[in-house]
Amino acid sequence: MDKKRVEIKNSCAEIKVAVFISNLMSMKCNNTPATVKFTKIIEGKPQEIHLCQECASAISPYQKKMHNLENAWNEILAQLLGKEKGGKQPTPEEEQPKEKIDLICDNCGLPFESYRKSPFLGCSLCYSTFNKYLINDIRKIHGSIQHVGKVPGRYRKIMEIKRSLDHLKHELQDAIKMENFERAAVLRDKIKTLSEQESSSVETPSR
Amino acid sequence: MMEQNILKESDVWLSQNGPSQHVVVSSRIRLARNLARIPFSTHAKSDELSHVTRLVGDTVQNSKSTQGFNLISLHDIPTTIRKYLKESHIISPELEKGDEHRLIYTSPDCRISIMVNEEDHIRIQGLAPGLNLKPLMEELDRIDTELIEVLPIAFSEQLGFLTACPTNLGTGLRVSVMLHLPGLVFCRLIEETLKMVQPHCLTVRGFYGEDSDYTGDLFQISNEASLGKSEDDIVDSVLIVVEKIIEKEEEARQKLFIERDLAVEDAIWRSYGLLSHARVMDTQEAMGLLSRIRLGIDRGYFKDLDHLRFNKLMFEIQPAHMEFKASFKEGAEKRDSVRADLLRSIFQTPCSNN
Repeated sequence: MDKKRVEIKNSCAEIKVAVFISNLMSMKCNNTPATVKFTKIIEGKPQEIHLCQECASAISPYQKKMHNLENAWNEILAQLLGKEKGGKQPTPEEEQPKEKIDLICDNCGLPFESYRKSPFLGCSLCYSTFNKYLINDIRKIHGSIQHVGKVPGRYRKIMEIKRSLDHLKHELQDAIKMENFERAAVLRDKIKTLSEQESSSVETPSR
Repeated sequence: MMEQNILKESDVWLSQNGPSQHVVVSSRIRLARNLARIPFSTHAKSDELSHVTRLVGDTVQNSKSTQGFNLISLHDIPTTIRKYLKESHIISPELEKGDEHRLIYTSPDCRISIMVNEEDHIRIQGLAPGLNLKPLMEELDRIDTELIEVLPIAFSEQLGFLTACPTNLGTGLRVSVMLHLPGLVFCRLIEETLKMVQPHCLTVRGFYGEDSDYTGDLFQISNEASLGKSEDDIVDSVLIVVEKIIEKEEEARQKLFIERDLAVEDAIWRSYGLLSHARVMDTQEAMGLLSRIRLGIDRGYFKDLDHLRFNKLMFEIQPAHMEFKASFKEGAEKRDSVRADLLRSIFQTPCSNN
């Protein structure tokens, strides 16, 4: 029986806030009827927290910056979970203690653990060294993990070469299937030349 | 002293007309770039930082689009000037610290600056009066293209331009628009209106950027995500929302104008009273009072003050700007009295009271 329902969705954080009337008690103070429901989508599954106006206004997203909501959410969850041990709320992935990762960037010497303490990485190569552990953070921040937009000239060349290589490799497979070995030989040579071009443009950054 | 000449020019662009200047104070765009393999400026050692300044410096000096740019080493100038540059939004709070090997190259009109060794090796920033994002983006793109074609830029096909902080990955682009919204604040519609930015992955900040207060009813709207969208799409997403907010602000001012609410009239004239008579005034107070005056300008109350002059005034009354005017005599008291003098000289002329 929703009386007033205001839904704000932040597509980055995937948090929904709904104002409604229910017969549940606030999960934070536990003595006032809950009127605000927070829903967070974790791995596709919605998880809800019910709060009274007072508890909710303490984390009002319109007075604070939107990304504070994420922190507020975690804070509330932590509080709730602390109150009711083994509580009904499933633990979100961020709340689980993070396992220690003993990875160090070969280029700049930054240990992955020190990135966790500051928002900065050490150098451009950290992104490939730590890729596996960073990619979820990056997806969370940007809602995407694929660059669309400006590409520096020499990367444009590499990307074109890659695209042609993919195309030629498909053609080669087809030629082999058709037993057209003459064509296959031509294609193989083309692929060899392009692969050499690709590795040389990666190795020697222009100055 | 070259820096002082630069300061004289630093706010000139604010005196130029810009689209929607009755609501939009300024537009700002910055691009973050780094050199491959060299540790980011936050982690680099002194010799690595100076290597970056050399590489970038050579390229800037040889680029066509950056001819005539002035070089300032932030480590070598007085704190007041750094503060002044920060107030004018020419440098970031990070560069205001004035650590070694921190440089800026500024265009002669001070609208464009290339910051070296901010948290990223290179940050290209452009300012423009009013809502002027598209021409500004084109201007920065030209400068950026010249630099990134020569320098060994850190880039990945998947993550785009690699930046010190993952929040700037992809395009490395941040587009911000500074809005003055006294109408919405007065009508208590501001929170509701600012909610509009959330579904678009935009954020709201105060006058001085991250973590600053909404001083003087000034709000900066900027994009949050920089990866997964093209530069043009990011600019468009900010423009769409800003245009809607401008509409709402216009509606709010119109509503206040038509209703001639006594409370609004009183707020405007009380602000005028203080601005035209006070002998000492700090920045916060001045910003708050001036904000109310904007509503009076729409009603034609303050003949000597149009929206353009007003936008510039918001910058002129900042602390370091006042210190500069007071011939670098530091101290809040001196500054606050110089500020009150300036404001009195603007508001003392009798105003028509419709």
